[in-house]
Amino acid sequence: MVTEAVTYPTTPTEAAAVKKAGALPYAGGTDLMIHQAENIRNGQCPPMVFLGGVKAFHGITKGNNELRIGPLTTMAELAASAQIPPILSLACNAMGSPALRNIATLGGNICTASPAGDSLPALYTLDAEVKLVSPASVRRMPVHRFITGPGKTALEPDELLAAITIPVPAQELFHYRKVSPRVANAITKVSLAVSLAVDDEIVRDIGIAFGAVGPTVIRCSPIEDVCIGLPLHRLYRDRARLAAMARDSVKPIDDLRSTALYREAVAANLFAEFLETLNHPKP
Amino acid sequence: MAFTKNTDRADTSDKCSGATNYIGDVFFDNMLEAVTVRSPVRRGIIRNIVTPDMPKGYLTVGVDDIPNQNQVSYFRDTCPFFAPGKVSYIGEPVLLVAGPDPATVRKLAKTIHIDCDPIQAIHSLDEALKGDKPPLYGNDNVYIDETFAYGDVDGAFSKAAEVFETETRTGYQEHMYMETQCVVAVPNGDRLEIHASTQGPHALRKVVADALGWDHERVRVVQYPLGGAFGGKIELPFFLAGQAAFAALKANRPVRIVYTREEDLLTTSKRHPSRVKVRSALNSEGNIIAMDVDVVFQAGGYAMSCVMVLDTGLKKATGVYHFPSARVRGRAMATNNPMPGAYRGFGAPQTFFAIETHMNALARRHRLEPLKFKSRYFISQGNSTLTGGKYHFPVALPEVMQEAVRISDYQTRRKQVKADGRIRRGIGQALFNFGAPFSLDTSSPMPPRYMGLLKHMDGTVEILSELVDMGQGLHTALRKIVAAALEMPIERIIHHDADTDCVPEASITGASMSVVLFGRILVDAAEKLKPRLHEPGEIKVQAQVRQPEHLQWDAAKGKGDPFHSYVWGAVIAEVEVDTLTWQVSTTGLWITLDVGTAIDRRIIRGQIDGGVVQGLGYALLESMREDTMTNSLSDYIIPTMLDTPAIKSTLVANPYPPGPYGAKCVGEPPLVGVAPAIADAVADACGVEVYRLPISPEYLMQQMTKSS
Repeated sequence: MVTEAVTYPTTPTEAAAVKKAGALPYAGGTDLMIHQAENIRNGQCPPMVFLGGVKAFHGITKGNNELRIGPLTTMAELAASAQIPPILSLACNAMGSPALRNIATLGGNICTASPAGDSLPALYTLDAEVKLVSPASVRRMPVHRFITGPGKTALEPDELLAAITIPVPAQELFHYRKVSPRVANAITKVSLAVSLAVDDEIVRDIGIAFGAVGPTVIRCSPIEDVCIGLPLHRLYRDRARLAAMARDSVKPIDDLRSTALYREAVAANLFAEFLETLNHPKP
Repeated sequence: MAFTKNTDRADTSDKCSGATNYIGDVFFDNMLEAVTVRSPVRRGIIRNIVTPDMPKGYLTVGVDDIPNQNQVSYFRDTCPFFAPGKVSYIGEPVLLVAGPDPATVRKLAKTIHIDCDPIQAIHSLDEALKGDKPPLYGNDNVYIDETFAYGDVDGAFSKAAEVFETETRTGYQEHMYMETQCVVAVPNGDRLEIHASTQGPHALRKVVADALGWDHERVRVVQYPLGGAFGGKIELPFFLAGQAAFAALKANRPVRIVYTREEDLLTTSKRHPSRVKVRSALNSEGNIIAMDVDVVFQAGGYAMSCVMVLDTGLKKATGVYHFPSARVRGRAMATNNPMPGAYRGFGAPQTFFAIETHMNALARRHRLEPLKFKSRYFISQGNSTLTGGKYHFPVALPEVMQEAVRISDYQTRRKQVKADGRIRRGIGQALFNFGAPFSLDTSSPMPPRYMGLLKHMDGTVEILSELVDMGQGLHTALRKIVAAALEMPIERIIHHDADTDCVPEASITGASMSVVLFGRILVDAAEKLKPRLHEPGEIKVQAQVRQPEHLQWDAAKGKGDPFHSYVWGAVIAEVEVDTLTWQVSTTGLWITLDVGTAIDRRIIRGQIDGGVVQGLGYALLESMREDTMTNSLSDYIIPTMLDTPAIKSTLVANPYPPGPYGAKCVGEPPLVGVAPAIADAVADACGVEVYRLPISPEYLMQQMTKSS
């Protein structure tokens, strides 16, 4: 039972304990303030735990095999950081407005688990993992397993997201595009992230992920499997077939923001646009 | 008289520093906050309302607490404050809960259960026209059905060599004023004060007094600064003020209502969705011999102001053209949706989108340069109006069009290559006029209305008018006119926000009528005051509002001059369409207006820029389903500066003799032509016609798929 309206822990263990006791964790609060607005006005907001004081959740560190990003790192910090794979910086810079990016955190964007979460397609293609802590345990899992459905994650009641890790070196080539109803500060209708590693014009590794066209971000492993080992010009040559595969791999719905038909077509178009860039792999 | 200097607005510095006090910032001793409890169903009979026990100091206020009449008296048709035993639209107010702590009030409001026997609801104008559900109004759901016509339209169609038909549809548009609807009612002895964010203080006073069954003088309305209005603060404040008044009298305490953004989006008025069929009859030479326009507006659960909005839109539905014969029919349909209402443009954005889109599509079909094709039918001075009146004054349409063509380099841009890789480019145009103010019957005397001037002891002159500065700069414009008439520095002319105890009744501020009509009356008042300025003491003069002498309007027959004056305008828009996503970005917007004499070029530019951006949002972004309001700003998309190109605007001076120093109006016109111009540019870029607003990427993709 939490008695305080807001608790301000400073260690992961303390924070996880308050969460387990029923408090709602928040960091930037940009999504929470929308979802809890009515409860706040009714005086029925659940107790909350503010994570901003947990030092261990801050900062970016580069190890030998991986880059570790603290979940409290803001979108603005990620957008500006030279340590971050450029595709993640670009994706974070495409989220919301400057004011939102200054306070919204990567951890929040992941734990909100929206299929339209702007950092997610990039994280999926980078094979990012999440580290989860509870007073009793520490575990790791890939981000695509962590997010289980719209708004749903694998977090246990006593767990918190403690770090995001990305293998280094990350793939050196990338492509990112977000489609939203207006130029800035709008929720994504469709997005595409592609990370690519190439040896002598041959695809060594590729990650392809679409945002906002399914219950979660969709990673297109079948297309990746087809691409790996092929020379880039083959990808370009086969672009119509590959784009059709992309179209089949997305699972969009009709909602207030768009139609399934549109999202499907645009997802395929975005992928074709990426493949067209491979016509000139060495600018 | 040339107004060469721009004037700093008196309200600017407080608004910029945050010092301005809006209704949301004020507190009265013992003030209660009230929250509206609304119908959860679209249509039904209320069987029972289950209310929890109210804690001490908390109360509910409903239909039984209305002292006199459950009717907003401003409207001719039925329009209640609280649902009168039956529900006609989703979100219709049923009760208020009021009390000292806002969170407790909201919590209590959520526990109230309204038990309804639902009736099959009408969701859209199509359903209302189809008539296969129990009618909501009369036996055909038609709030108003009116026709204006001249010439032998049917005869022309029967002998036409070609008939061309288009059907355009437009959706809701939300005003999106920054300050949501709000009001405070304060009992004061045997009187009641209403502190309001309203476009019509005296009209509001009457509505509240009528509902209470009081003499109008017992109600005092104090105007507060408006955080935006755009027409949205004419009708809704009537409801809020009445409801707050009932609560204040029941509790004998001040009661405040401030809507949340969600509530404002879900329940307040919007622009009427429309379906407009336009048919033109052409002879064998390809000339239009008749135009037949059929307009349908989607109205809500009660008529509210749809009669006026539709009527005004219809009178403008033949655009800037004089055809050999024409007929315009309009209907407003009852549906179980929240009530649309007044919004900048007042019916004209829908009808101008229809006529301009029709004319542009017809020109494309005949492979004719659209401006040249359209100019065959231009109205000229002395032509008759749709209603049999006359265009009395010079028509600057050719000059306005040529100027817009010049500043946009339209001819060169039109020849540019359309396709550039995945990007297609297009340029479009629209022509429009804007009649304002609408005429009142000239065969019977106008109700007496006044504008006043008060010279104070210190020599400053105060404008006594209820006209509202809602951010459009009206008070500054009126001060400038009075300063010119009195030959005094503008710093010594004052215009306070209205207090109905202190200023005479004039009008609601809207319909772009304030400068052109009331500015002129202020010049009359100034002419009375000027010879007496040297006299000691306070001097008050009044001038009676009168319509200009050229005007003939028979309201009963709908014959004569429908409007006093006409602004002429042209918009040129350039777009790029991304064929991967079918997203349209506007790369250039040029607009030329004839507003008569320009009273303040900077204020006019502000009105143009704001109206054009609102028009751009209407054209490309702003969307709600016809039966489901969007409740958040993450789903109701309005443009940001990044969606907006630099707007280049110029003015053509064509003074209107009866206006103050030749001025006409500028408030509404800039919005009207933007959507048809952008639609024309998209059609030019893509080679398909665009018949719907907003031009969403989803719609455009569908049009392209159909055509290929």
